[in-house]
Amino acid sequence: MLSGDRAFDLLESVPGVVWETRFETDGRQAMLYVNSAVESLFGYTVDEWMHTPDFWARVIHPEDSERVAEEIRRAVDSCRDAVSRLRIVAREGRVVWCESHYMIVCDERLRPVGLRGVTLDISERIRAEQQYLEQKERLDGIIQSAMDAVITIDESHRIVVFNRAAEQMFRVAADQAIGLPLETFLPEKYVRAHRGHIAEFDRTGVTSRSMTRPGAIEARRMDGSVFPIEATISKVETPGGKLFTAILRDQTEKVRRETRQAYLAKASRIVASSLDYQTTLSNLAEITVPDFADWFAVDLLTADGNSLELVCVSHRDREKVELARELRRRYPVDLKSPMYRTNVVNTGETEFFPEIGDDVLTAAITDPELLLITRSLGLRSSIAVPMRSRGRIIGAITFIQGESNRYYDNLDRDTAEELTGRAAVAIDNARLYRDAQQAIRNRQDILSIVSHDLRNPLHAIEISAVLLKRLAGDDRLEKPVDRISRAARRAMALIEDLNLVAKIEEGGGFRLAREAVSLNALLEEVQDGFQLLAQDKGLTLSVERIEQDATLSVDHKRLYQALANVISNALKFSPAGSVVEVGARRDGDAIAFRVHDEGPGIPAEHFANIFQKNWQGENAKDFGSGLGLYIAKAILEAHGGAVSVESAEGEGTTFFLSLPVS
Amino acid sequence: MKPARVVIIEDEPEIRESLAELLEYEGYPTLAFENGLVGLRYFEESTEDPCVILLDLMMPVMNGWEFLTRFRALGRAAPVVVVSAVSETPEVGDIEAQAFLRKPIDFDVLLATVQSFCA
Repeated sequence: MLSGDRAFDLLESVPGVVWETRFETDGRQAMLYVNSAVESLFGYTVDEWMHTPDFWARVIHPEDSERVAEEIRRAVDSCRDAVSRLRIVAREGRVVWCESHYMIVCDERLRPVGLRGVTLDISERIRAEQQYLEQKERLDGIIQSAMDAVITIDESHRIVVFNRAAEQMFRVAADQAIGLPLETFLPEKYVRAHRGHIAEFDRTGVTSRSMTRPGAIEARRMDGSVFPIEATISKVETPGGKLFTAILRDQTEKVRRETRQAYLAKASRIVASSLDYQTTLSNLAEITVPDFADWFAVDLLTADGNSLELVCVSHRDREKVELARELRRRYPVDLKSPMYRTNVVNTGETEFFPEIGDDVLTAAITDPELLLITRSLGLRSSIAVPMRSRGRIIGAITFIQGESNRYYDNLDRDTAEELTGRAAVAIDNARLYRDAQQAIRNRQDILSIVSHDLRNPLHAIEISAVLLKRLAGDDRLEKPVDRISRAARRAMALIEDLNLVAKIEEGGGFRLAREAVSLNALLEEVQDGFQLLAQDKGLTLSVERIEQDATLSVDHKRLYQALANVISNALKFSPAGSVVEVGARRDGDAIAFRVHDEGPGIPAEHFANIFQKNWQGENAKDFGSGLGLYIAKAILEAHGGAVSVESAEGEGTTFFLSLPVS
Repeated sequence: MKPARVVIIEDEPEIRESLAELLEYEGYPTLAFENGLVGLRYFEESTEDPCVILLDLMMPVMNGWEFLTRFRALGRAAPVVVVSAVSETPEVGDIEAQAFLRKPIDFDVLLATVQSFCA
């Protein structure tokens, strides 16, 4: 047992206010005892506490007094010990946070007669608590206001944190989400793998890492819709257990943009890969349906500009494609009619229906049967884009979403416009190419018709001239008849040249009928062929045989033609009295024919031109225009050889025709 | 005995007539037809064999290739010389002809060829 003095000393040494009160009949409390700690804590003297009636009611913070009075009343009523938090306004106005622990004092008949308790200064604790709360609020604020969805789960994979971004991303309120297993928000196919991921992540002890590359994983909303996400996960150990926090970012837009870029890049490759626009369009249809559209249709403006031709229509269902074609047959487009006034090929503007309501259909389609059929197709959303090429509208591409229940947005409209632009370029290129091909074919046809049809009458002229000469027996007829003959032969030769040029131009060169030909025999043939012509012009033709004859494997007729063309050219430009030299030289594995004249020469800048068929140089006449040298070059090249020229103005010209021997 | 004739089958009238006159002048009796069909009709009626047939290839109604096939199908063995502007030998390679003369015709070569069959 403690003696009275010692008990008093003990009470005085408590670092808190020890006190006892008694309930007065007027409801107030009279202070029976208070220790001196009250002075150091609050600045009021023991006397003030003891002798001022209801002193505590004066010093308690006004905001707390009512609540504390209530708490005491309840404690008294239930006859239980209680704790109250209250603020005391100290003498100098300082507010001291306190905690009072008190018990009810009862008399022998168990009637409450007063309170006995201890009041402690808890300012430090309160400060710490406030600090904690502030920190927590700040943290919550950060998490809640984060742009990324933040979801924390405990060790049993139950959601404990679900921020506002998560609410928006998953379209569910946090209070509904918290407590649910995380798997609720994962597509079925990921659930098992996901548990494994978390377990492995936990085991490896890495505190944070990106879960996968973007777009590779998906999340699921409460309504079942699935969308791509990027996620990072982190782990914290708390006294309550491990917590895993996932930070999620919706990748829908990013994946869409990537998909769109890939789609357009593919389209560009397709457009560049073919000059046949039907092929191009069906390839474009293939990459468009069903990824970007359920329906893909390309219309081209007809030549008269009054209608549209459906040149490509694509849908996954063959029957639907047939239906579309059938509808177009039954309801041909008349662009001049009021129904098509707003057609994109008339307006030149993209027509975009994010949502095709019945009002859209009834406004666009006047025919009741067509309206009925169109309604049954379940069209949801559409984009129609006019195709332009070099400022002219050439048709339109229509993209429609139907049974897939997807709806287009502005990004899709941009994509559709980009794709249509590429398709228009493809069609334009194909048309230009087709026109160019047609023009070439026309020219070749004319060339071949003209040369074939000219040959027969010329031949008749020639035969008749020969006949005339034989029948006449009159010397005076000889010269004019010979002239007719020569002119007819020249015209025939020219036609042969034209024919050969046509063959060269058809591509792939012409066929060579190779045979073994003696080099010296060929030179002799040249001499026989041109001797008389040279003499007529007062020229000397000097043909030099080669010492060691060689056997060539060549098209005899063609090679002779090439040599003849070059020699004719030399004879044509040689002044009277000059010499034209023809020879051949072995040059390693090649034979080089040489044709030299003493004519005016060719300026070096024309060397490259003279072998061209279409050379139209101002001095063309002076150096030999026409087809001769062009043909000679083509013949030598067909044999794997080449033609070259050396010349200087006033020093004559030398042509070299070289041929590989083997 | 009457000398055997030279038959000319050629659609171009000027060429056909000139050839015929020239050969007549050189002493060969001639018979000329304007296409393969007319020629074939003649040989279906006449059993007389010519010493040589000068045959053009590109002709309307019936061309030279078809004429030759059907002529041989009649069991006729008269020599045939193809006279054509068709230049590539492979195109006439399959033809059962005894010689090939390319247009424009060189008269000396033509006369030498005719002489070799009709001497």
